[in-house]
Amino acid sequence: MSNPEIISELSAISKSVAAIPRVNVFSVPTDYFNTLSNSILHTIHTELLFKPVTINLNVGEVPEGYFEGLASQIMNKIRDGKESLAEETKNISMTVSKIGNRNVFTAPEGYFESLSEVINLRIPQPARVISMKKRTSFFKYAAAAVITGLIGLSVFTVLDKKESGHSNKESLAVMEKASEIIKNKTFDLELRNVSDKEIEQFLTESGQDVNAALVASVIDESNLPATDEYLIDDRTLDEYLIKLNLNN
Amino acid sequence: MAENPDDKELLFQFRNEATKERAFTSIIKKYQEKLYWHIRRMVVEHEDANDVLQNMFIKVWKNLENFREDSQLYTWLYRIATNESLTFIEQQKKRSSVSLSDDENSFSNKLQADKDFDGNKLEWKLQLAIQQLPEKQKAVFNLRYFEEMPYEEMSRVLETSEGALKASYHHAVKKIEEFILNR
Repeated sequence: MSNPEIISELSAISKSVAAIPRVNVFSVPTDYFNTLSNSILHTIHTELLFKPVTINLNVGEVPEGYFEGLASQIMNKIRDGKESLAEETKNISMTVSKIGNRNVFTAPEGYFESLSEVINLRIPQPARVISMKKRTSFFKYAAAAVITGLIGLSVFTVLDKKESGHSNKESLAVMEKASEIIKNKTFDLELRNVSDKEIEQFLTESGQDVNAALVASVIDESNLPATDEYLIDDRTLDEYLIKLNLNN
Repeated sequence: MAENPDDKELLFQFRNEATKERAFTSIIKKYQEKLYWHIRRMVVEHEDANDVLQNMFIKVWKNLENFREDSQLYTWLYRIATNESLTFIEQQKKRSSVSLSDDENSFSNKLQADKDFDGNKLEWKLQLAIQQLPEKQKAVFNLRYFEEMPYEEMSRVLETSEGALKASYHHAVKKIEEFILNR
């Protein structure tokens, strides 16, 4: 209250009432005043179009130009005078239309800000597809390492030109096992039973380059070790892989 | 049209068919908040206030052409707004099937149903007290207390003598004081 005359008048009547803070306790929907004029004009258009022109109608007489304007009036109503949802509801039920559509529910603070992140975390990511083509020439070296590891012997394959001092008996056992795998085509099955750790361990114990066994995940060939660091010579390995139907 | 045209200019533009709607929109925007809050303090609920306000402006549209300008435009608008509010309240009373004494509390009930209502706060107690007043006395108190309207202007709005308005305001304040102190 800013008017001193009114403040003084009130204090003279009641000091208690004058002491009450003059605060507006009511709230109004967001944007209400921004849209009010449009809403009122729409109602006016609708009402005017529905109401007949106030004229004195004698029998057989119509206002001048009445029919000329009638069609455009109706078309305007059809084009522009579409009932708003509020108008439609009001026409059906005044009681229901008075209820309004103010949202009575609340969402937790920050809910919408973090929602997209939460949803994204729940979306299962598609499995990463790694092209095998580039790895072909090196995959066979890894396959060879796995094959030798599959047999589960601590000796290296007979095809490893670097190795020496292993008995023929042991090498023969390896070959026999390998042949069995080829014959039964259980390569995939055997491979599933061997973990990456076992392959690494085998290669380490064999004094081989562990990284060679991990070539399956390397896409860029330029990062791979030189071929002479691998276990097996190409020709023998190729023969082996042909039998296994892995040499693509 | 000027950025903040005065009422005379708005009336002139309203009477010109080419600028009628634009002028009317300007009138709405100029007075909507003042009129809204005056109506709201009478009828309490926003939905009711909105209905009354819109009906009021539709009446303005229909009758502004014939406004004689023997008072200020805003005085005329306040008169229509007050009459529409009082008519609405009367209609509510007639529709209500409860007794008169219960009906006097119906606006109090609406007030207490407001989600922001806090009975411990003085400003809410004041609103409750105002709702106990007879309707016309409520209008007098609101116009004086909240709108700070001079009695001279108020007499044109309510079509009541200044003396009667001063007495009415005095009684209203005393009743409010008694209500607040005894609650």
